[in-house]
Order: sequence, then structure tokens, then C-alpha cells
Amino acid sequence: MSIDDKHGKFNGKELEYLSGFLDSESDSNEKPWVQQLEESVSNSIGSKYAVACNSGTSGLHMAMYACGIGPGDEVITPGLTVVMDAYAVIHMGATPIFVDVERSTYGISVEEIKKNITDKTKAIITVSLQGLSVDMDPILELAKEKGIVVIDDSAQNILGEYKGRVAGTLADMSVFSFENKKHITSGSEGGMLLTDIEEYAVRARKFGGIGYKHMTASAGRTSLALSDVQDPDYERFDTIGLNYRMSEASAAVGLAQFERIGDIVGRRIAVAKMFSEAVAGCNWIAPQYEPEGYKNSHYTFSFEYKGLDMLGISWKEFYQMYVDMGGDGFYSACVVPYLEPVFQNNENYNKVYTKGMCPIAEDLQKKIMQFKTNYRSLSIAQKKADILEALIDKLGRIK
Amino acid sequence: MTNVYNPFGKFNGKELEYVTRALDSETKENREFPWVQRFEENFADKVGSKYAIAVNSGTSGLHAALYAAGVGAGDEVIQPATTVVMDAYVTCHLGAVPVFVDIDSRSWNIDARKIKNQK
Repeated sequence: MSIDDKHGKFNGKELEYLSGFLDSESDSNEKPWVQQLEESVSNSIGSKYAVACNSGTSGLHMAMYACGIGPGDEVITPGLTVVMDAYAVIHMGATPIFVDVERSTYGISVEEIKKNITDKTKAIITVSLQGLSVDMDPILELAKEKGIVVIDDSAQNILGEYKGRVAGTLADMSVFSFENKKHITSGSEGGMLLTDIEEYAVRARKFGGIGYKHMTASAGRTSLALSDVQDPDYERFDTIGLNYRMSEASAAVGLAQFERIGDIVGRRIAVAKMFSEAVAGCNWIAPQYEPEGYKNSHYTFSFEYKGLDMLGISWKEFYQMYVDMGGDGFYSACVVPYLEPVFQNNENYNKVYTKGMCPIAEDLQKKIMQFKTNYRSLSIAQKKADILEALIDKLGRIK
Repeated sequence: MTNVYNPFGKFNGKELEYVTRALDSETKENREFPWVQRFEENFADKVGSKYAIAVNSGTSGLHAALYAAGVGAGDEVIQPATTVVMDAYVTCHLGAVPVFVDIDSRSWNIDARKIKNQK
């Protein structure tokens, strides 16, 4: 059984597992697929607990609940990221505090965190942009000293490494995304929260699992004898949760993808290397810096484009030139969260967010170019990298 | 393609066929016509509603519905006493207060007369 196109996204055991799931009366469904995926991820990544959910955003929301974030609290989050980190904070009634980033790595700046910590700070959300971990050790040290929880938004980073540790194990809690464009996907949506702390795992699972009181940190201990439940006096719920559970069908796809995670991430890194070589030596392109001891899992290959200042060619003009030569469309970084309409046109928030709060993030955001690395044919990827190289040479590699 | 395994199974219609097509990620149909959209359009047509929005659970749908209706802090939301907790959960998540109203003893559904009597 296989999928027709060998370059398709789901060319592992996805169909086999999904067929097994659909065969509802068979032994293949004895052990829940969600539990299999959770156990596989926690064993392989090396975290004590893994809680599957329906998206990375849901995982962040669960994490916020797990560590007790509530009204009046402040949560530090980077100025360069997408809005969902702040959404999770807002939904708990807390206030996101946006902090500037390091220009070379795009990671949240420890010095800026220090300046923004107050008595109300309860958590720091770090974001591993494009597959590169942030400099976590000084943040963990600071957090420990202040009694603050650290949550790593690892939506774009799986199998990336930081000083010998692997993404998903760097902070108190970490969240992966299995959305459609991520390294691996559980169909088209999905996520996973990882932690070594039992209390967080229990609280996260209950919050994302509509508050069933018998839920535990590990998967698979959630079934009760029917005779216990089939009782009018049986009380089920002790947490005001939401339903963020991953579906079984989704987990079956996710498991087949996760089994090939090494190959899938390896291919992204190989594609990133092609693009990296294409831009090498160009003085108006500064690739995201990968410090010694880090391994970028390359959700994308990205760089800061300085062509507007140095060549007089805008971001959009460069984009069009590349596409005209046969390149694929590439992405920009998201508008910094606090300048999105959702934070500019809403009077309900506790804080006013203004332009200039994170100058590096605001400047970088306009210049970043993100090239996809999920080509499933390396020869096509090489062609695209060659086109980028030719365009750079045409414009002049050194200015 | 393997067909239905067990005629008494839960998914013995076109589930496997559709899933197999959905997994064939490079096809035209998958690029151009999302399955979620198909499900929504079919559902809306079948039940006769103008719009249908697929979500990941009934609880999520209730949450989205209360948000859509503008329910917020300080509001009250009336709901039946005999139901599961999720109706109340989503009310609480929006900062509103669930007001439980008793049921009609024959239908077990919320009693319209008792709703009127709520102050």
C-alpha cells in the first residue's frame, strides 16, 4: 500500500496506519494512536511527558494554564514572532510584554528580558525561529533566580540542538507544532506539549482534555472501568478546560511522519545547505547566524536582506526578480505581533503597544526572507538554489 | 485499494477512499479544494444553513458561537441543568456566568417557561 507520488508528503506508513485506524473493529485500534504518538515522541525526544493536542497554539494555551498564568500576570515574549504566543497569554487574562531580539539569530535577547522583568512576570516564552534555538542557558539561569517559568515555543524547531540538548527538552515546557507546513504534520493540524514536570503535564492534559478529573501526566491511563463511570453519582470533571485533544486519525498520520523525522529534518537541512552555498560571500545578505554548539533544524533557510540600502532594490522587487527567473515564492517574517490590528485596534487590553517598542525586531521583520526547505526532490531544490545564486551574481555579489 | 475490512465497522463507506485521496498530497484536487471546505459545503447544503464552520470539537464550536455572539465579562448565559459541563465551560472562558435553568420533566430539555422566569 503506498501513495502514488513518490515525492508526495505522505509517502511513509501514513496510509497503512490510517487504514488501520479506519478498520474500527480490528486489533490495530487496541492501543490509541494518540497514545502511541505521545509515547513515541517522549521516548525519542527524551522528555518524561508528552501531551498531544490539536495545534501548537493550543499547546501554548495549555502551557499557560499548566503553570498558573492568570489575570494581572505578565508574560515576556519576543517582538519577532507570530501573534499566537501573545494570544495564549491574553486568553489567560494576562499581559504579553514584547521584548526585542538579537539581530544575528532572531532569538529573544537576554539583556532585554532582564530590563523587562517586573514583580508581575510569571513566565517567559522563547521562540525558536526558523529552527534555531535561542540562547537558553542564561534565560534559564535568570528564570530560576526569579522563580519564573520558561516555555519554549518550538513550533518551527524539531530535532534542532542547543549545546548537546535537543529541542523540546530545553525549557520547563516546550511546544511542537504539526501544522501542515511544519517539519512533520499530523494531517494538517496538530501539536504536542513536552515537559519533565508531572504537575504541568497533568494540568496541561486536563485543560486540553475538557477537564476530566481522572487524567494523568502520561497517556494511556485515562480509561476507567465502565462500571465506575456507569453510575449516576460518578463525578467526572474538576478543571474548566477546552477540547484541544488530537484526533486518532490525526495521530495515525503524525506517527507515520514522526517515524521518518530524521530523514525529513535531514532533507530540510540539506536543502538549507544548498541555499546557504548560493548566498555565500554576498555582503548584502546575512543568513541567520548559527552559533557554535547549535544545530538549526531549518524550518526555512532565512537571511536578512540588505538590498534596499545597498542595491536600491526593495524586498518585493527582489522577490519578483527571483520568481521571474524561475524561483519559487518565498516568505517574509510576520509583522511584529504588537503592530498587528488585533493589538492596535482593541481597547480591552491592559497595555498600549506602540511602534518602536522593539526596534531591532521591527527593522528585521521588514528585511527577512524565508526560503522553504521542504522540497521533496533535492534536484528541484538545487535548481532553485542555483537560480538564487545566478540572481545574486547578476546583481553583484559584493557591493 | 483495500476496501472495507469489516462490514460492521464504523467506517465502512467511502472513508478509506477519501482518506487515500487526501493523502496523495500532490494532486490537483488536494491543492485546489480543501476537504474541510467540502465537508462544510456539504453539511450546509444538507441541513439547509447558509454557513457552516468546521471545528475540532463540539466544545470548540460552542466557544466560537458565544464569541461570535459577543458574550463577554459580566454577561449571563442561560443553559439547561441537565447537560454535560462543556456548555458552562465555554461560558466561563469568555468571562461570563452560566445560569442553569431547570428542565421540562417530559422532554428533559430546557423549560422555556422557566427561562422566562429567570431574573
